[in-house]
Amino acid sequence: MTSEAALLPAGVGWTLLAAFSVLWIGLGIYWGRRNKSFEDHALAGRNIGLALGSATAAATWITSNTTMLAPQFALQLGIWGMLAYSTAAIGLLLFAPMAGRIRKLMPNGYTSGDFFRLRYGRVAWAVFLLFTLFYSLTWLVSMAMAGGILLNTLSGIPYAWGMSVILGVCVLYTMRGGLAAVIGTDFIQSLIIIVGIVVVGVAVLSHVPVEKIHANLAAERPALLDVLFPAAIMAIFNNLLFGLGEVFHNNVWWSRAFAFREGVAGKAFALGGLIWFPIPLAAGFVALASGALNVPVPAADMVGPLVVAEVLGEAGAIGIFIIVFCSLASSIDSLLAATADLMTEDVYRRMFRPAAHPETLKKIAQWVTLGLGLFTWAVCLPRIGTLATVLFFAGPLVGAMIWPIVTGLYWRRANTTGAVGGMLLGAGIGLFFYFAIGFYVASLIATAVSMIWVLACSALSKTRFDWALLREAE
Amino acid sequence: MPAIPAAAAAAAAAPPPSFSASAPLSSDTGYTRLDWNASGDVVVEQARKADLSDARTIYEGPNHALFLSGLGGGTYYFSLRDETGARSAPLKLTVSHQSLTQALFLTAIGFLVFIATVAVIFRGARDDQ
Repeated sequence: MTSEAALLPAGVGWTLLAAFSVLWIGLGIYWGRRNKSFEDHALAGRNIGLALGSATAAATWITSNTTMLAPQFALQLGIWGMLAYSTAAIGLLLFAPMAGRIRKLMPNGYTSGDFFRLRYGRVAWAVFLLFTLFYSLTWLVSMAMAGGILLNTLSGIPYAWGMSVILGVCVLYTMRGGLAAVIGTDFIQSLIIIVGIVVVGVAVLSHVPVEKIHANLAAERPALLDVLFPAAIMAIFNNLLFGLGEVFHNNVWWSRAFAFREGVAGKAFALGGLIWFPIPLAAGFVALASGALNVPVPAADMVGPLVVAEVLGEAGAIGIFIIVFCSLASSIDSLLAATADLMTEDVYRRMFRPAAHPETLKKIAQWVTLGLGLFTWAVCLPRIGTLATVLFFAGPLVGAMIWPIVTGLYWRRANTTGAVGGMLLGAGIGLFFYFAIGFYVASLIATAVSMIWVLACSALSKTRFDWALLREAE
Repeated sequence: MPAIPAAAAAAAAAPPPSFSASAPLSSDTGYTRLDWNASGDVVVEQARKADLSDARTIYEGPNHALFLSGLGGGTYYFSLRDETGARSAPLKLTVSHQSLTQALFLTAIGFLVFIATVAVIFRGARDDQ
């Protein structure tokens, strides 16, 4: 991102930041007042209904990446890039049947780590923890950094202040309210984001007809319309599998599968995926219109805000500021809560204090949330620009976990050798091709290698897993 | 002798605009970013011929970078011109897209992996009891 002029006066930015900070913290305290145990705090009492469930699935998946990276994908890789980004919705749609299975097999489960530990043993669990913590922490760091940078670009608020306020607000309401606060705020945030994106899409269309956008692209950026654009067609399944890996393994989604009321999880994830699907298409369309609207783009990741500000003026800049803040908050809070629960359940409880009291676990989860927030803040403060790109290294790691998870949930013959080998081989070879070809093939190759290994190990396996072992007593 | 306005004098005294890249650029994706140093507004021109005889303006303003995408394969030349008319040395960009055969092969693998994943999920555990 380059240092061009801010779209909003700093005073307006500070006012919006203060207003939404007070709102989220207030709601977090209100929603968290009934939390007594770790189950209340981490899983909202396992009683989330369909409306909140669908909204939180969609809102958590609408990250700053959806509102910022989807336009960037469209600007870089054209129509295919826009469609490639929207395939991440398939992660939620396919997790819908899996969530029902997870609830059935693990009625007392807390985290995705519980699954790996009980299904494949401690070695696979350790590899999973390493991969998922790398993914979660880099995602958290990249979003907090993006928050500081975006608020600075949009309104001139100094990077360190913007990043600190966004992170601080999310830490405070997640600590106080746990998953109930995260899901409640997600509901409001998803409504704001969806309305905002619809308004932006309509505004862009009213400014420039589709025919003019097409003519401009055909003349100035022909590869963006090319059906056989090599980098773009490679990105389609790579992005799809990256999305599948992200959703299938991460405790953000598993904690929701455990938190939703019985019978709700499948419908909520399917609805969440359908709600999410058009959002990157709308955001990507905005980027494709930039040429026809004559908006010069100094950096690909700024195309969304620049087009919106051009079309809607200061009102548009205020809107994009709010959308960005909501997108960031709805994802940072979910990651903080899910990662804190993972560390509390999988590390503190399972490794050190198996007999810990539920109230103690709740307090530990709150302290871990604070610790995660401070860690993220310390890493983000120096603003090392290249750090955010580390998130892309996670692509092969999460891709390599798809087959161990899917077969582990459905096949009794899936085994530890297959899971551990699939994760390590897939991730290693995927990372090699990340550097040899590019980020747009790494997840795909990692998933393919992991799949072949898991299939071979399952075919040769003589063991048959007893599903009852997943029904661990609390 | 008429007085020279301060801004014009400063512009006249400033070095000519220059691209940040010291070597020719290359891209296998059809996108790249041009960065430059200039003291004021610039005009960025794009051409397909090395002598810039077919140049056309693609940006005019105060920014110091421009993101380009969707470029077809081939060679492109860019130049900068500031308010005084001073020009930069041209910058060459070679776009050579990734192999289509490799892309289609990887896409086919991706499709197979995806279909297999869907099949495992929707087939469920019915034959594995």
